Amino acid sequence: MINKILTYGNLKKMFIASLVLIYLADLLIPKHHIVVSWEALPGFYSIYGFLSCVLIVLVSKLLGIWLQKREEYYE
Amino acid sequence: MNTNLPVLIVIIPLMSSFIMPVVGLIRRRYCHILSFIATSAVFILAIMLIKNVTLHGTLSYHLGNWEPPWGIEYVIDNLGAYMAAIIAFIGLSISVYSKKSIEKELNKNLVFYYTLHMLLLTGLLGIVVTGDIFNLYVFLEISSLSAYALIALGEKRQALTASFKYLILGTIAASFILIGIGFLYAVTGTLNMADMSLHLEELYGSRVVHAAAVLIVVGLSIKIALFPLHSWLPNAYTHAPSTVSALIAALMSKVGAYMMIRLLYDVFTINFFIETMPVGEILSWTAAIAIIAGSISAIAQKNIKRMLAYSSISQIGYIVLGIGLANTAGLTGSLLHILNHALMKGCLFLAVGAIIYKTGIKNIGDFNGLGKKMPYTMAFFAIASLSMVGVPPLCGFFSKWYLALGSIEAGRWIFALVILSSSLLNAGYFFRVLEKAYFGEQNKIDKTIAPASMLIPMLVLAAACIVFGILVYMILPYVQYTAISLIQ
Amino acid sequence: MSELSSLLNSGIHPGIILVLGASLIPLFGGKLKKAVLVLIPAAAFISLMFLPHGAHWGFDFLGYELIFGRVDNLSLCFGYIFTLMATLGMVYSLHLDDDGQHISALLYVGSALGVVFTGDYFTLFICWEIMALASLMLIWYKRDEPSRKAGYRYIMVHAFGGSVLLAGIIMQVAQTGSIAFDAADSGMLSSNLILLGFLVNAAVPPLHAWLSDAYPEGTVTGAVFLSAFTTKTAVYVLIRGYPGWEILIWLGTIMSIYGIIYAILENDMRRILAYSIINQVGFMVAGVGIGTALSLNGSTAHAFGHILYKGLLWMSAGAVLYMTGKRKCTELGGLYKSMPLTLIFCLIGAASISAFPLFSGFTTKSMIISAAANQHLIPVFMLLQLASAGVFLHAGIKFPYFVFFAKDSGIRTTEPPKNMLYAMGGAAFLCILLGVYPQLLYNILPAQIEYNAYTIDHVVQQLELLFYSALAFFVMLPLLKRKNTISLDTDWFYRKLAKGFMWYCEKPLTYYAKKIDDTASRTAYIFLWFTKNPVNAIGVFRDMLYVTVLEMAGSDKAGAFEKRIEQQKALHFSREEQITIGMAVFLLTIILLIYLLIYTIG
Repeated sequence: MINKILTYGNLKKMFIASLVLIYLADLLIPKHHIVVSWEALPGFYSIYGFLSCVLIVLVSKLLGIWLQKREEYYE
Repeated sequence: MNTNLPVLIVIIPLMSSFIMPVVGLIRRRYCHILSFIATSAVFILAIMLIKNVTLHGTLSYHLGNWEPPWGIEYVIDNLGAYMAAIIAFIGLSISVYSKKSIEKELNKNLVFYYTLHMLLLTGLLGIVVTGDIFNLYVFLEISSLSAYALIALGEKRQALTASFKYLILGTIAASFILIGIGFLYAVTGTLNMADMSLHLEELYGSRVVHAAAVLIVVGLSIKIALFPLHSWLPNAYTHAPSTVSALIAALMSKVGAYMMIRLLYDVFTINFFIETMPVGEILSWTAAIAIIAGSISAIAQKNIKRMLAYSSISQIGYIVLGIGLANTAGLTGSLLHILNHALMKGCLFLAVGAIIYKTGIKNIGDFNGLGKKMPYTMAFFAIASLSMVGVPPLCGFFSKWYLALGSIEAGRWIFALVILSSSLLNAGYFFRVLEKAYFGEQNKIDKTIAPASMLIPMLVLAAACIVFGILVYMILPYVQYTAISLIQ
Repeated sequence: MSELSSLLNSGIHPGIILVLGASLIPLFGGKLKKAVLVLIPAAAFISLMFLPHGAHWGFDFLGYELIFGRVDNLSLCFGYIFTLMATLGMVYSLHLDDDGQHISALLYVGSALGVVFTGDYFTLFICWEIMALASLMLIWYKRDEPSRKAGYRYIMVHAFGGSVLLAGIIMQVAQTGSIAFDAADSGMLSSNLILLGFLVNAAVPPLHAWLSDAYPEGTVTGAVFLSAFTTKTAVYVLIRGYPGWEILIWLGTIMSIYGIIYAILENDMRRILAYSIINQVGFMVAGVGIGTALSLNGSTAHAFGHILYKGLLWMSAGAVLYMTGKRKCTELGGLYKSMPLTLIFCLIGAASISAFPLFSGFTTKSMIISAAANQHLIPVFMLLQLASAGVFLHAGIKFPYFVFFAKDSGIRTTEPPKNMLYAMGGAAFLCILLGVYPQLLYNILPAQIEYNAYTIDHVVQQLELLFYSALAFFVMLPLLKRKNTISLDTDWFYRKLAKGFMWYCEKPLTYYAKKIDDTASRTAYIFLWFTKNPVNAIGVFRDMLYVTVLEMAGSDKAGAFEKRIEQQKALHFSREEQITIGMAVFLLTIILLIYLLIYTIG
């Protein structure tokens, strides 16, 4: 029965649902320990997390053009 | 007995070398037994000497009861006893080891070998016990000639050329030394080293003395193969029979270094060779170059004995560096390294000899799987290698520590850098061998074990590497005291 | 007698237990050996509980004071996790029949404990070197060509690091006369050298390439040990010796991002994990740099947790490697059907490293980040948060996704041997325990400060970070396709340069040496030839001179002289010897006359 629930389509729906939930949670919770002014923005960490990862992947790929070589490079 | 110790230690091997051919005529097998008895006796005497010297101070013996400075005097101080013990110990180990090795490699020249072996030991021991500078030269020649002949006993034709080259260069060196001695005799009128050093004190400005110093230092540099005067060494070590390589590698350069220490520190004294002439400076810089050049050349070698030969050139650099630094820490490091290197290099050459004896393998490329094939031999090789690299708590680490400390105390940070870089280079070529031996491809390999008579000396030397490392604090006071008394 | 009892009262050094135990291993066999293998590190762990605080086992060596047992919260904390991980690692290796690996592993951990508990630089250096050698064994025992080469490079880099460390120590001793290991003096060159030596082992870029080069070449079980000890020992010595050194903040931050970037590019699953180590250690190093009580606690706690979850991840990677023989992401995938348990353990490790709430990373990494915030190090704070997002990306998702899910590689296998599962289970349990009940860990940290990781905003913000990173992963998935490549790292320098260096040593250098040698031999030979028959030789030289002059003048009479030269050379050795002796006497007389002249005139 677990297999029936855990289909790819269902997992995708659950994922998107949790994304929305968490974003809303960020808007609702009281923010006590603000370090940086923009932490108070709604859903800051969601956006920051997303953008950070995109940035990292893009930078990696960019560097990869230069750094990635075929496997036998050192032989 | 005690008063005769200094001369006994030279007479015994000398007499044995005379008797050896006779024994050889009777029965060849007995040659080895005689050499064993002689070297054991010498070893016991050397230990007694050390005890004597620690308790009673410097020993003195007048040859033929003739008073110095006209008679020849044998003087044994801390340094002399230390060197005698090292020579005796290595001589004994190699004597035990030589039985099987010589039987296989040099069977037709067996008697010849043992005679020369005894003569070589006579010469070396004579150098360290004598207090007369010309006597020093005589024993130097005795040991050198025996060495030339021993090297020539090697199996290939290259042994002859190597020996010949060593002969030529060695003779040139000895001539320089002799001329230097001649000059010193001419200006001081005495051949007794202690007396000479007193007379020399007023003469530091004299050009004759300067010339003598230069000649002697250059001559000795050739003898101990200090870069760039080292060209005889690689071939000599590589093509000599294994036992001979071990003997020469472990002892000859050390005794040469002893001569340098004795002549520079006792005869010329520090006032001369540091302040009047920059001999110390030149020596230490040359030594630093030797250290690096030797290590780099060693990396490039494919033949294991050649690799060890170039490694020796580098190690000799360490010893001379300490001599040139002329501070307590540096000299302590040198003296420790004299002992340590004799042990380590001796063990390495013995191990290589055993490998050649059992398998005929001479090239590093063929070392694959030797760790399984000859486990004990390789284990001893590995211990000695790690000690050479300077892994604590094995003995090699401590001599490097003191040399580096001495360099920094003298304000020469670059020498400390050189010492540590060469440890890196040493790791480079030793780990390559170990990697091949233990983790190389191993096809069906059956174990062969070197004969016991070869394993035991290796075991003893390797154990000594460990013991003199962990228990270095036991010999350190002795060595430091020796260094300090030399500097005074 | 009283000394003996006071010695025993101070307990036993855990490192000694491991080293002695290692030497006893060959004596046992069968089931008993397996029990012994696990009992040895377990015994060490238990012995730590009875170790009183203070400085123990000191003795005088060559005029320096050596201290083998400096026991305080910091060293005890590291001691606990080291022995704990050693136990788990030995359980993981129980299936292995290779005594050499077991002994190496125990020696490795034993010497690491030696470093952790020492109070002087001398013992530190000895144990540091032994660690390098023992860990080298764990790489070389794989016994194939790549691991031999990688191991060689590994030991060379570590020998270099060791030399720099030793240089610093000797300098320190020469200048201060003391060999005590405490917080370093920032004004002295020796401190910087020692720091450099430590940084090599901590795998701080650009000195880090040994880790990504050598760790993937370790044995299946050995790599688990490797992942834990060298780098964390380095973190410990940094905490002890260099707390608050500002440069570490920046090195650590850059390090944590560096690791992620390379991890994204990598195809070999163990290399991904290796770069992940660099990323995580970056957090710890940054924490040391920040230097407040909270951040040092954070680095310690993070090291504690990291050993567990990184060990768990390496164990799962090792399990996959052991069962499938494959380690490249391009060759794996779809294993969730065959190895579900391994998958679950791997996911727990992934959740921990990503700092999911309820798992151990959440309760530890946040201390460092909070400390950065407290110190108003805004750029550092933001960069560390960026790195935290990236962690989930490469270790939390990429690693399990490509190994267990993604495109099915068609490999069908079973779960690894039971002992590996038990080890992974144990580690996973501890990861969850430390996440759910972090106070257990907080109690043994160096500074006793109140810290609560489970505040509402922290939990929510972390979940935001994680889930949106996951979103980014799936959005960027096309860009993250597996490729069969390697990435060049700073080891390029010494790999290419070393080849060049070796070539230089072998070809040009020996060529020139030979040339000099040959020239010398030729010169010697010419002298020899001359002295054999000087008269003839002089004649030959004279003729050679004629030939050169004639040829320069363009005349063709040269031919006749050349013929004469050949004839005389052929006859050279057959002339009588009497001429030479006479010549010698004659020459000697001439020389003495000249000397007489100079002496009387000069």
